[in-house]
Amino acid sequence: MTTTEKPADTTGMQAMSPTEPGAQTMTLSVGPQHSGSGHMRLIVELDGDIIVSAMPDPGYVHRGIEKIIELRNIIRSIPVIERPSIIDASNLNHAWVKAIEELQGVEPPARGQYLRCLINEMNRIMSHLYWLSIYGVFLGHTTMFMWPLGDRELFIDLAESLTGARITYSYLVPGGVRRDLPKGFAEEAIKRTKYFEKRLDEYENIFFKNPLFTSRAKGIGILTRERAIALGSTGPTLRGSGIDRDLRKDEPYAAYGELDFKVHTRPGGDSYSRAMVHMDEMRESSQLIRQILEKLPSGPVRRKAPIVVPRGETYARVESARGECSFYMIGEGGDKPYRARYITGSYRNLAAIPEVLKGVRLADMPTSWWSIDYWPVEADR
Amino acid sequence: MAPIVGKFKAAVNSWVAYSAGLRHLFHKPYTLRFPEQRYAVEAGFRGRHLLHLDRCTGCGICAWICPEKCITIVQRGDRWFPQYFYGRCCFCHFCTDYCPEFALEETVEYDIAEYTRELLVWSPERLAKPPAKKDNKYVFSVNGSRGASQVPEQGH
Amino acid sequence: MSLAHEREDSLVKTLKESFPSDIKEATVVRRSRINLVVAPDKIADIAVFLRDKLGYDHPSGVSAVDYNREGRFEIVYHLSSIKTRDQQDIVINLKESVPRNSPKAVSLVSVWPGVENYERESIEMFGIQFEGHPRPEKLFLNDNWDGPPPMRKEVRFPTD
Repeated sequence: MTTTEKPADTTGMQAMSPTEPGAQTMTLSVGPQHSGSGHMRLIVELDGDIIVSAMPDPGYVHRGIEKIIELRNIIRSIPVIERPSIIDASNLNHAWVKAIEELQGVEPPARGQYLRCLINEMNRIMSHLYWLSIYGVFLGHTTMFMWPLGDRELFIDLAESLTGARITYSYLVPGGVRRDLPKGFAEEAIKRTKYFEKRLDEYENIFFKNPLFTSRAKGIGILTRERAIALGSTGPTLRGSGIDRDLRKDEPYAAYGELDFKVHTRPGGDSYSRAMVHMDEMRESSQLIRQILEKLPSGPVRRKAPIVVPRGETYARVESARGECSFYMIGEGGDKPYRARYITGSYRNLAAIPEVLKGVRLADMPTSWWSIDYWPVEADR
Repeated sequence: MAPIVGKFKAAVNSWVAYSAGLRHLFHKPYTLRFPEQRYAVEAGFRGRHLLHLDRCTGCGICAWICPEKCITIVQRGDRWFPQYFYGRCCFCHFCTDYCPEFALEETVEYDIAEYTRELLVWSPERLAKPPAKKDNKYVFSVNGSRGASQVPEQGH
Repeated sequence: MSLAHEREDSLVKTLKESFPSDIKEATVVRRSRINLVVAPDKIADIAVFLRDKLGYDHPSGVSAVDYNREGRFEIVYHLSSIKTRDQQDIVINLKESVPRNSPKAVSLVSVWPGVENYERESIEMFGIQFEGHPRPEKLFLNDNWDGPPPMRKEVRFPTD
């Protein structure tokens, strides 16, 4: 912790006394040991307890994944691609296989596309639940920390019976998915999504309507519509500022073009709006899971695809839980890409953190920046 | 008028929040005491590998596709078999998928922690043993009276 | 999906008419993807035109690619549009090439404030200099990293 005096006044005006606002600021380093979830640092300049400026300092969990995937073949890259955000593994994996399939010209069979959407929506719920639990603990609401983590098990257990793994599925491969639905999956999933929606009502009662939450989220941490666009925000952050952009609707991929769902937006741009967008999306995804299982066509789930990245370039993007995840891939005919640029939702929302924190009290800092759903590991890659 | 309404609403919402929590006060815990109470995973779970020695040709495709390079091909007499180092394995089971002879299989055995690094190296002979049967099985279910929780497995 | 790309074609046409000499190449890669190769010294003008006239106000990222055999770096700005509702799916890849031995480019932070972090990553990972960048510091790498820019092609790691 350091205290810095403002530079000497050269205009001849009388120097302000240290008790006046703005006369003296303090620089505070928040992190890098888990200032939120994952290692990142926020360098916060304070005037009293009001944040004058905040500068994120990422890079504590940088793994150089872009370099790693240049050096290994496309199948061996799949577990690595998932690692930046294991709570949202299949969405990131989807961006990777989509880029490869666009270059190869391989289109997965219809059932494979639906199963991809199924695991993606399950993952979106799991990711939002994890976000919600951390949000609860930031507000000192321990029940909200425990409940979503407990209810995540509903979908982790489903995903386990579908893919064989609980969190890191490696389920999507070029050409389709690795396994078909197990017996009795649909009935169990429908039961669980209905149960989950009942739980969401309880969440609303205990947390989202609770004055403990609303008084600390409404009107705090504002990201205006104009700034959200200029800073390139994406995902729930963008939708929380009143812009209805969702790649599942804008550029339908997999089976999303045939599914019926709504894009939820909130006009406020404050922490409350962003939080409620997450809440609405969980309901929507839960509804989508049932819809996918209803409309699921029969047939094969996987088509043969070679382990090769043909010559050419593509820019493939999907809507992950934290926003747009994209791959700019350049192939030169080998079994590995020449270059695969990996831009994730958290990385794009990193620019919004200083904007959101400006003018917020220090006590409201965790809730404000966590409402962006910034996942440091996903941003650092 | 508006501030009074707002305060009234806040008081109601506070009470709603309390009652939502209080209803869960007398429930049993979610969690299992692990070594005594064990969680049952379904068949198809990607646990440790089972190697069929008779089918394996030692071609080494598993070692080639392995993302973590945890597989070494070792010699036994005049044949070659994979040897796994579970300290690095990420249980993606691409080796199982890509095995042309179907010599590898997933098992439901997930608790393979050991005290030393050396014990995490699984020789082909050890991989060929089928997993030991374990009891005290619990499964996750939403059918119970209190909603989602771990319940003892039916028909066990 | 139709094979005709009216929206993309009209965008390319507008761009070519407005900057006949500065746009080296403008192609429709597939539905909703446009590649635009421009001269590095004119990129700022074209960027302002894209933002103000065509409504490409939402930066999706910046990629740098090391073409070491051709002796150049390619910097690619991925742009999408929020303003124009019917172009919600279009991504314009705005590309410029800088020579590998003196990699200097113009920073576009003044046009799209959101590209600041991506350009910072290109600075540390490829050693490209962006003129006019407000914070040309390390983003992900250690501040005391003194090795070569790690994403360049000649930097190899012995593990794979």
